[in-house]
Amino acid sequence: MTGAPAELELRLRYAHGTGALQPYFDALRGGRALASRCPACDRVWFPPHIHCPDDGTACGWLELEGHGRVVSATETHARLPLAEAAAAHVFVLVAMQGADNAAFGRLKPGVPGRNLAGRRVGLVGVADAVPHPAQAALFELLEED
Amino acid sequence: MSADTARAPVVLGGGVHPFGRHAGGPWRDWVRQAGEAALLDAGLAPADIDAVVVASETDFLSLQVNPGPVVLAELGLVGKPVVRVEGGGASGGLALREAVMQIMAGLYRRVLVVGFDAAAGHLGAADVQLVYGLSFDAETDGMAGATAVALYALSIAEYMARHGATAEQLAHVSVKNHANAIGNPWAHKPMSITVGDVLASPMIATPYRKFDCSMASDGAAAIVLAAPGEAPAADRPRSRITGSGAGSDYPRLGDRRDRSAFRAKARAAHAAYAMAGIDAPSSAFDAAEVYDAFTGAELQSLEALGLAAEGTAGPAMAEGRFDAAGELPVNLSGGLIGQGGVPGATGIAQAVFMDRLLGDRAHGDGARRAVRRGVIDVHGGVCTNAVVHVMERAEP
Repeated sequence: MTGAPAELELRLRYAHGTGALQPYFDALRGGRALASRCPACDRVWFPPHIHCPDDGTACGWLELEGHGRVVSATETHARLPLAEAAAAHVFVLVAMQGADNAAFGRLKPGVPGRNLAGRRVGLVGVADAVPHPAQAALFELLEED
Repeated sequence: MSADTARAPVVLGGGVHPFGRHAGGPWRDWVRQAGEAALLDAGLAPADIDAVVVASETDFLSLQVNPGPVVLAELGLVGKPVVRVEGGGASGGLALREAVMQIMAGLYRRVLVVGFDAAAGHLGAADVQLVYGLSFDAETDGMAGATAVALYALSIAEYMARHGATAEQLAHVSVKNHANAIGNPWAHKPMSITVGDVLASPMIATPYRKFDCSMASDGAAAIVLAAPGEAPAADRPRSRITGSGAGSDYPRLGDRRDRSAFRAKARAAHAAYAMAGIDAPSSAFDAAEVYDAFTGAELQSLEALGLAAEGTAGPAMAEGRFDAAGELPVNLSGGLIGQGGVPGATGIAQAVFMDRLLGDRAHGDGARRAVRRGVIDVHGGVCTNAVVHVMERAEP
């Protein structure tokens, strides 16, 4: 025997700190790229790792110039975490100049999502509050050097 | 046969609660049905089970913290040792591996593995997407907006650029897996569609369209494993798990040197094949059940498993090599795209399905294949953690 499902709504509120990554998020909000560098393998990570994921060595901070190139891009319609509504977004992986990895982020609204691989982009910074500091990973297209 | 394969666990039986959208649940009904079916198929009573492994991806979906003891209570197994295993989409496969290790270590004679998730009809789709977005590095990627489809799309976009794979080749995966699901009584989405249908379906995240994507499903699966000397006599062929391997990769897709390749899966496959004594995987198997969360992920998985050379899976797919009647049929169950995706249950359902193939008990196109050795594969994240098993037919 089955009955009509009960409608349950949970509202969860987390006091969520970002810990040792806080300097990265603070810089991101200001449009700066704070990476980390492993003294053992010399690999530079942006977003940073506090300890190198390859060898466990404690990394040091290293500020990058704040621009890089799109590795890949996807155009979609999605609701950002903690946002009220869905919207069109172009999500990208960006290899920042001076980094050995790539960063996940999104392009400023209005940029078509096609033929972006290889394009030069830079961090924008966010003046307004964002629901989570990771959402400050916002890029804009730059002119070629 | 190596020392490892001499101790390889025997599959005594399995059961699946059909994958689909079962609005309102409850998951414990599905678990009970799958578990009872597995015990019946194995010819065992609850008292014959020594230990239980439970797989479920997240309590956000089930609204049940510590589900292991609840599963025991539903199946008349209270008092048995139970452990819960979680590894995203790999949860069911990792639970299977846990049972393999328990038996091979000599801890238990017979282990029941039960996996479930209420991924479709319990929580709204947008909220499920949010929860799944936390499957990656939640702090830097998930909270920035990364969803499963977005990250998979970024990965396959790079693969397509590197290898020249086309949207048509990806569409062949969808056509094949939806068609394979026809006749599978456990399948969520059996359909007969064309490449044109796939290419005309709504865009979700470039280059992935709606029919390139698997569905989040509700369901459960269960399987009983035994040590070789503890399997009751049978008059039908059974299967044995002769290889088990696991591997991992960076949780942030952007940290990987090659974001288009599934290195965690290659590592898992290497370990599983070594254990099973396989050194030429491309010609070692009669069937494969592969983790096709998205069409492109099937191509990437086939290459990581060594079933296709790097960059060749797309053309081989379009040529029919992996069709039901092809040289190596892949996802005869329908895979995640046709059968459905239940993170806690998928890896177990793969093993149940492969056991049916190996024992001449399969339905649909699988019933027409002579299968003596197969490989099953699941992963979590964008192949952040992977687990691969080799299964072989055992004559009575």
